Amino acid sequence: MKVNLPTNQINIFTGNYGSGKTEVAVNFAIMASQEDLPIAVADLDIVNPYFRSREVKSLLQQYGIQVIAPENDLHNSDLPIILPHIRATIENPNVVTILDVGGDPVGATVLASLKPAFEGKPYEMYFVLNQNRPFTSTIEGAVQLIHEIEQASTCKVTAIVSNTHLLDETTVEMISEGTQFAESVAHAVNVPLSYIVVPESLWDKVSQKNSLKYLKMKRTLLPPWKLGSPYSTSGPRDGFARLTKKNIT
Amino acid sequence: MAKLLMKGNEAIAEAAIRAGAKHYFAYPITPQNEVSEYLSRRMPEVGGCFLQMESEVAVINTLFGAAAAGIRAFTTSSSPGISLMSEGLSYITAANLPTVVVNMCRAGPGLGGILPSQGDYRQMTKGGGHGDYHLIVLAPASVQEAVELMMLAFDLADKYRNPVGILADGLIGQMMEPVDFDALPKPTVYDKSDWITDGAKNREPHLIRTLFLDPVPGEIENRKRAEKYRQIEKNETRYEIYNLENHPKLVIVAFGTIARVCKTAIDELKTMGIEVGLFRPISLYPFPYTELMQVGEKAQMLLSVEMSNGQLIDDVKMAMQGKKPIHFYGRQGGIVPAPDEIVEEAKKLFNVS
Repeated sequence: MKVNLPTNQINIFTGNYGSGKTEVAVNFAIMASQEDLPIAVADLDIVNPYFRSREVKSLLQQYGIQVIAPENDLHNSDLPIILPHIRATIENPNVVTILDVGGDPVGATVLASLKPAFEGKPYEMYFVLNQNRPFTSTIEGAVQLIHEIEQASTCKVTAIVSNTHLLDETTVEMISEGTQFAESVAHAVNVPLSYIVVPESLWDKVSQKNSLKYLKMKRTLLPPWKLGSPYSTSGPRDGFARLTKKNIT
Repeated sequence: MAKLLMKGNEAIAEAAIRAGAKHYFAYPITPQNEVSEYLSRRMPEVGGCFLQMESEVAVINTLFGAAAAGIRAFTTSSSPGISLMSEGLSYITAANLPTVVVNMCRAGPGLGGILPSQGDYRQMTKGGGHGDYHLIVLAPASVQEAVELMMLAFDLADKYRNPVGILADGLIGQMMEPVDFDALPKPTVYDKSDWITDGAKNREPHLIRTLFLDPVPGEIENRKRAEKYRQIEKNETRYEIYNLENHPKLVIVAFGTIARVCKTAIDELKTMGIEVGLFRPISLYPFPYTELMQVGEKAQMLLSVEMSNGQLIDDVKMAMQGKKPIHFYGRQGGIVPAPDEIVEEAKKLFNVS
């Protein structure tokens, strides 16, 4: 599929804590990079201490994607750091900016300070939705959270991303139910359902993929015991397993 | 209800609710803040109370009070926070009171860092506070197991009137996994009416104290507690074994998250024709000494893999009583050993390159 993004568009990923914002943002960036668009991903997660987009910085860089995140000592901090060049990237009309925002209203607060930079420019603010998460399992719960995020960020949610899954236990039926649920939520807040996330392993089993809405998800932030994890020595190390043995001896 | 996708910290919080916890006192520290975040929303829904205290010292003493009043109450913190609670834990144990303390361990010592570690093994299992006491210590390796052990922790605390610690590394708190709450056993309700201090209406007052100036009752109290620990050691050891069917020459001992990394390594080694087993203690106190000896005796050597500088290995040595060589591999500072590092370490021990 193609994302067909205007190059000056700001793509903001918000949602419930643990809704999959980072994985969606990372996959979205990789997909967009395959259309030779200049892309920058800004890690604005001021809430989560682990499993942030900065952990897959090397992977994204392999796709030519610029990653803006605190570096060196601050890479592993949990401080509310907003780097000044995030604003510069947002204001650059020749870069597709992807903002990976922290979860819940508390994570979305950071957008309020950046809003002057993207006001007047085209932007999409996606609300990533997983029905299997505790506080977004009902339409009321999801709608309430959307409103809270809008209030905290002073930005309007413009699209829903259906990301209902249960990691390795995701089924085709679950994705289908999650899509219907996401449609109801989208209807309730009067915005479109823009993307339906399908894990790579189920991609061939999901029918009706003829629309542009389906986003193939390859998990990147795997835990350290899974092979191919960014935390294992076989892959690039950006996270808490960043140092290889060679570095410390 | 179907399975939910939850962060370990959220799942622990929900498990406490299911176990009937009504009071939660805490002070923020990474990597366990999601527990407070979750309970600030969830506790009022069940008529409970989450109170953020001014410090960990206040937290542990408030828990002391809640436990004395017979309420299921608990706290969560991380390494430096647990250090601050150590004095209070000693008091709560001395007063024979049940409570649950979760340590979502981060890199230390000192402020250390916010990344995962197992450096608090000694702090949790060998005391931290003063005097002759033990916490019962349980170590989960998955989010589902964290839920199960959390519920068990409240029951064990009430059963033995002793604080129970959950020792998990930060990864358990931060990672997300599917959780099933439906299959869980219902919490046991213990009769506390003969000791709680809940107002003494129409009865003689109960006294909860830790000061024994007279050495004779002081010793009696300690002996009673020692007897309690013998019972706990007899009844409450828990462990898991993996890939022992083919009588591996090497058995890895590891707990928590690292045991999962080791399982991946063991599966990898199997494809190379190298058989390695795993012994995972789930109860760190009481430590499954006898069970580990039975497994270790059949192997040629053991390897303790830890996210610390060699703490679990002391208990492995105690279990093996010098009968087998015990090797060590550990990472510190918040670094999680990767499966391939453990594969390399095992190959070295087998003299395979």
